[in-house]
Amino acid sequence: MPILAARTTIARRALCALAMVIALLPAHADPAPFKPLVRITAGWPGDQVNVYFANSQYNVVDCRLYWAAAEDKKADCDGKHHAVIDVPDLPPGPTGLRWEMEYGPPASPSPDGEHMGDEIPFTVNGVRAAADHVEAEPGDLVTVTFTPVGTGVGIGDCGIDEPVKAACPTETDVSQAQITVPGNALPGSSVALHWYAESGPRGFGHSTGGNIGVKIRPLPPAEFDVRGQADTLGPGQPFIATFRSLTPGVTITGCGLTLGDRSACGSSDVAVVMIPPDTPSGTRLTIPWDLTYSSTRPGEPTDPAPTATGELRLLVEAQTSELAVTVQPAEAYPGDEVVLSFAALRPGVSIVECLAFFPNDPGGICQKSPRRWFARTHVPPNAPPGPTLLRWGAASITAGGRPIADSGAFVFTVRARAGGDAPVGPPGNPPGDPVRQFTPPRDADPRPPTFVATSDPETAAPGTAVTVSVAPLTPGVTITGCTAGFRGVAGPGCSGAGGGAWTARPLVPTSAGPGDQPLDWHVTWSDTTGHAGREAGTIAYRVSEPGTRLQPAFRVQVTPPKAKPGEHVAVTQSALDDGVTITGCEAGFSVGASMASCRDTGQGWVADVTVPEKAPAGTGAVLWNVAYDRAGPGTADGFTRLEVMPTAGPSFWGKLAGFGGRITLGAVALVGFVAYRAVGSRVRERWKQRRARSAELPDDVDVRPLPDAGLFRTDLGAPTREPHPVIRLSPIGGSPRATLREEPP
Amino acid sequence: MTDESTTVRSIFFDSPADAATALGAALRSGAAADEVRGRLGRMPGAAKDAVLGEAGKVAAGVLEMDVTDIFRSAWTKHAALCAAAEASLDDPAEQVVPLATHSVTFEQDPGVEIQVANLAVATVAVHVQLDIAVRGLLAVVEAGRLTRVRIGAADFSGALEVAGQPLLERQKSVELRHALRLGNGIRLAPRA
Repeated sequence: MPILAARTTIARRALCALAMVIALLPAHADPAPFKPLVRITAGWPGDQVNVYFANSQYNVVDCRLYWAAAEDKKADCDGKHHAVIDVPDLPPGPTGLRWEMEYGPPASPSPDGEHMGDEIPFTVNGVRAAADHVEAEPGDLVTVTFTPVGTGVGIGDCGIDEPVKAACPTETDVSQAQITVPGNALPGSSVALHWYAESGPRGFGHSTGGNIGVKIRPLPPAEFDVRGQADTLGPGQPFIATFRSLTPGVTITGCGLTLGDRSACGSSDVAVVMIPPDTPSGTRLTIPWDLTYSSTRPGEPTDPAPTATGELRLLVEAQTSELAVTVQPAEAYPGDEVVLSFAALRPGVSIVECLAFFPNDPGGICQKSPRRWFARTHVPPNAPPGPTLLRWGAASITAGGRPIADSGAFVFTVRARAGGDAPVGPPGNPPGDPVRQFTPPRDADPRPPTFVATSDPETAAPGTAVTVSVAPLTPGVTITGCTAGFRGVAGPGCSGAGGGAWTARPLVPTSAGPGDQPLDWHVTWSDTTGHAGREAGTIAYRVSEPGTRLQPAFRVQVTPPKAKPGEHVAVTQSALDDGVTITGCEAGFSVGASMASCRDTGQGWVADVTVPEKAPAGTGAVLWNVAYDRAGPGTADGFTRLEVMPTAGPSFWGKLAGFGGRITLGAVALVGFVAYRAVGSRVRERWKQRRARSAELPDDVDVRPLPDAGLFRTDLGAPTREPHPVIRLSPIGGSPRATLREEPP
Repeated sequence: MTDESTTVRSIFFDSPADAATALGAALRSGAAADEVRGRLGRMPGAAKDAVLGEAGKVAAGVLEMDVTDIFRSAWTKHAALCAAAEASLDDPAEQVVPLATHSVTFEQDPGVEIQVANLAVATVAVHVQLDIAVRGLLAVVEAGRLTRVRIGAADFSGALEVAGQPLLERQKSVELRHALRLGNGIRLAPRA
């Protein structure tokens, strides 16, 4: 029996446990025999909801309510099985009111009862607000729309009160408010729009509010155009970069380049740094740039000033000193002619074109003779005595077709002319009346081939034949025919001269006056692609006056063309004209150095010149004098380019770099010229007398005590403070004219 | 991203680079080139090309004028706007002024002066003409100023000449709300 009793106890406990498990199962598993009674299924936050659980057929043991979306808001039943719960402050819209209870039959002895529960759908009345943009920029309009939630709910008032106020219009049924995103909204941040609404069955009685986040779109980055004037430059040349804002409302307030030291922009947002002269050829420089800017774009931070940085890249190629430039004479009177000779020193490099000019003078375009490239230019007739700049530029091409550009300026001394003396100019064309360039017919090819024309001799008298040779420089181009002749006179046809060149021998018209006369050439050509065309050009040919002799030309070569202070260079002089024999010469560096005498090596007259220890780096000049014999003694002088390399590293150049260094360079060069003029003239005159053994001077040499040219009263700032562009392009604004035409109402 | 719709240049060209390229090409090889080339005298051909190419870039630069300035110049003469601005001086609330369709004509003759060795040898003249039809404009006026354009569009018809030769004609429509940079507004009525 005890065993049977124990089994009965175990079975009873198992049934009780099973009953408890079943009681805990979800209500839907066992449909409720009755449901609590709820009076309202919608309400405003704060409204009370009454739920009645009493039922006549069951005994409700316990019951409670809570909100599905706010479980902490609970309400237990009172002794009458009635529970009251407040509508919580939930977002307007549907939610659920959950109830639970334990119940049993009225006579049930169990105090636990059956458990059951369910959810009553409930709507929280109120107003919803939504913006039409989740992202916006400062200044954008954002519209917030207010929507009533709940049956019979009306909106009586609504609007936005933060960060700016905007009320819904009262005269319409549109429940919308519109604001402009504040201009000071920080890009990338979020702005909270605080809204409010009054609602109720009649539009009033219940206040609702909230925040809507609008993300402030980050400003697009400001764009700038920063570019250098070239991708490739030579050592010692200035690198110029321009800065420009491409973003409306953004203005550059400061900028600069850094190459060693930082060089700040001027007022025109242009910065200049000097490429150290000892930079090895082939070096690829990375030049950082930086700028600060101000902005009127809404919301852009201004303190501290926004910045931008970047880099420019530059290939350094040594090519500037590979062109020998010789100027003859070394100084001249206003109106006098000055001749520059150009020679490419690198093998395989051919000069294509070159020019030279003084400020305020049309200048001269190069011509080619069998012996040299040369340009004739004139000291402007109204040039004041003292230093001026003689500028030159040359374009060359390598054997591989790569173009090389080179340019520079010499400090040239204009001599003071005694009052009343007429300017000594070339015969014929006065300065300012250059030979008009022949304009060839337009060719369909936008890149016509390049030709070079050579005239021989460089000058000729009327009635004399001149040999004109025209040759193509563009690979693959062949001349198919040509003519050459003085303008106004039918020119003879050309004939092939070998090597692709064609030659004609026009006669200088017997009626031609002395001076420059236009000698036109025309060619027809074809290339390997079958393309054909025509090209033409003009040589300003110098017709000499019968019986007069022009100053002979000399070739002066400085070897090596680049040297450091303290180093020696050999200055070799030779005559270019037939019948001219050098009888003596001397040369010296322009910066106050003594003149070294030449020695005849049998292959030319050579002077050993030492570059002064204090010579500044950059473009310098070797001065030279030569005494010659051409059916009588004569003298000539001039100067030739010499590139001075720095002896110290970048720190040395850093002190010289920039405009200040250039001013120093120019001033030192000028001092040299003055010393040369003041002291060298006397030395030269003694030297002339010693070498030429004659006091008889050429007609165009006027020996006078030089009046003070006023060098140190000359404003050096104007010509040397900044690189003076050969070509200057100046924008002209024009006068804007805006007219308004309104249509009649 | 840059708002490219606000300059005179952008009426004709999509980018500053396009403008420089087109103007440079016109000056180098177009019908406009002969006269300018002739004035460059004995300068070598390659140098002329380089100069004219650079002149194109500079000419493109002078077109970078904000169209807001055009409207600023025109609307200060607009009767209805000015009247609304006068009225707004006495009323602190902003006023939205609907404007009838109206037109603005703009002409400018900028250019580039080419100097060789300090001598002016040639001037590349650029002529810009814009005929602008303004439609559906709702302008906001506050305290005597036009402070905002709520809505409105402008139809641009532009003609561009370089060195006396027609280069380009373009039409473009812009939404003024985005195109104009009014800043503190355009003063239409003097302070009281």
